[in-house]
Amino acid sequence: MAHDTLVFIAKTFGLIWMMGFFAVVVVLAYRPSRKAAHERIGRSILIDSGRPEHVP
Amino acid sequence: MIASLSIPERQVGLMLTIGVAILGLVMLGAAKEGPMAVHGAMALLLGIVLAFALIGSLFEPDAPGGRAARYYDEPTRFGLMLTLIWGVVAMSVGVWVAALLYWPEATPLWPATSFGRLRPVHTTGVIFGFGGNALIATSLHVLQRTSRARLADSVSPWFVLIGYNLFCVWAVTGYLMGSTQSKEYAEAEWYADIWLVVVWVTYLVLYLRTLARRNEPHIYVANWYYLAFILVVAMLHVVNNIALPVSFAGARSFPVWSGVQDAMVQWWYGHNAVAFFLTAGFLGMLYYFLPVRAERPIWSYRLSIVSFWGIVFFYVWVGSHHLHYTALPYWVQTLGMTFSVMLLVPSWASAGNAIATLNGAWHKVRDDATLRFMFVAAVFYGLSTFEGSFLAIRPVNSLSHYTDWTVGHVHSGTLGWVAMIIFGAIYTLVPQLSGRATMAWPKAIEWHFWLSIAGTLIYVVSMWNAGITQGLMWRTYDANGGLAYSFLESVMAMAPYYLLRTIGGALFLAGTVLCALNVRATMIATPVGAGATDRPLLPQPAE
Repeated sequence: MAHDTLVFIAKTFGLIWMMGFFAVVVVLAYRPSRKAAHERIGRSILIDSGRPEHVP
Repeated sequence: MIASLSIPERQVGLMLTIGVAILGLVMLGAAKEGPMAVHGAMALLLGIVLAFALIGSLFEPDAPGGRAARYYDEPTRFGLMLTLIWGVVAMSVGVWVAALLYWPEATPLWPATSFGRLRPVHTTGVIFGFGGNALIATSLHVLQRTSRARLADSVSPWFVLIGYNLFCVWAVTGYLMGSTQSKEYAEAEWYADIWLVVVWVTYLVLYLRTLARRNEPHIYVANWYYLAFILVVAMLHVVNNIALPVSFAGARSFPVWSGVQDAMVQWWYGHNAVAFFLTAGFLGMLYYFLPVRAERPIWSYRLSIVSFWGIVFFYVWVGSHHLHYTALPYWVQTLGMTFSVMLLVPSWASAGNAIATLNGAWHKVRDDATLRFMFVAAVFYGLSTFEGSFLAIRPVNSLSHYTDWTVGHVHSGTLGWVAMIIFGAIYTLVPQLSGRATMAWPKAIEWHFWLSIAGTLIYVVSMWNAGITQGLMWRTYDANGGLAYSFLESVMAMAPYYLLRTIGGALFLAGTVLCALNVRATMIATPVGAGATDRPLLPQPAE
């Protein structure tokens, strides 16, 4: 592949693809309708009972 | 460990161990002498010992009933023990080679103990033995807890752990015998590389099958990081290790890549080993154990998603910053440099997210050495990623490259970030898995913490000084335009720093030994019949 071709692809498709992907991720992560779900997921790993079992 | 397997599972295990023994026999028979024959004999011995243990167990009681309703924690416990054994052995080798740089005349006359052969024993032992076992052991725990599902089967975790450690032992003993591919962090020869692919694919399949059985709708972000680690390491390992053996009956092989292509493939691998082995997997650890220990959800779950994609997308491009001012095309160097600088954004997003999680819980950080390990890990993660982005800038690299600054940078990442988060995870996990509220010696955690901090700081600061001194001495010119210092003078100037680094490493090693003894005491003190003390797999009736 010629250098000019590679630079052309990098400056068009490459740029749009990377920035576009980034924009999609940010929109999906920060859209307001997912706020409650994300907060619930963040808490899902915490031990809900608060009291461990079997502690001698 | 065998007692946790059902009789049919022990039969499957027996077949696998016989398979390993036959593989060893074939390698031994084909190679007859040299590293490959020794490695064949090792596999043969391992297969025979495990086969005898399994045959004996066929007549012992079946696995305890009701195990499908419990998490499978035995592999995690076994993996954590291996982690600490590798940690102590590999860090001891590290301290020894550091001492050899200060007292080179202490090198024994036996070739296996030369610096060149022992150094990769240290790097492989620490990265793959200590780090890799910690990643596998904790990933199996985090996977089950966040999915609320037991591992998909009971045999493959043992295959993964034992097979992976066979690879590590093959690798380090190969170096002692002078067998190496001469690729940094990928020194192991072709048959060990193929074996690792088999083990790694089994690991990926186990991970995916367990995730598919999850009882949580969402896949928690820690699993994304662990999966990125498994998937990308497989890709890197396969591509970088494509090599043609001189003969199928010998250890020697040559890579298919040559010249600058080989260098680029190697550092694409090398830097992504840092990215996906030493970062992504450990971020998975951070995103699970830090919130659990602090008993607070991660500050921003959404930011963790954005930083995940940022890290995954940017890291794969940065390898060429290892090849500044080489035959590599200039634009490829610039590409690596640019992405390295951009990488700071997702890296600091992760470090900031971790530290912001602790905001409001500083009293816990003050009182709980385990949480303090994780806090320090997040701080060092932030520091060493900043330093990494900075060192990747071409003019900075012209000062730092080939000096001990690089060594200091690597150790601020591995001691300050990777090892600290491992210790935080171990001190959280081991009491839980042992059915206890605390470690056997809670005060020893405090000692370990301060030994680690002191060791890391002494090591890193002395290497910064050493590296900058070297870099400046190599570029100082006299009035006639000649070099002001000979290379030997720059070596002599290193003496105090090399002594300090040996002392720093020894302090860090002392902490690791303390940790290993503490874990051993805690595991021995496990109450009979105790299970994990965290939440059960199935919802329990109210008491």
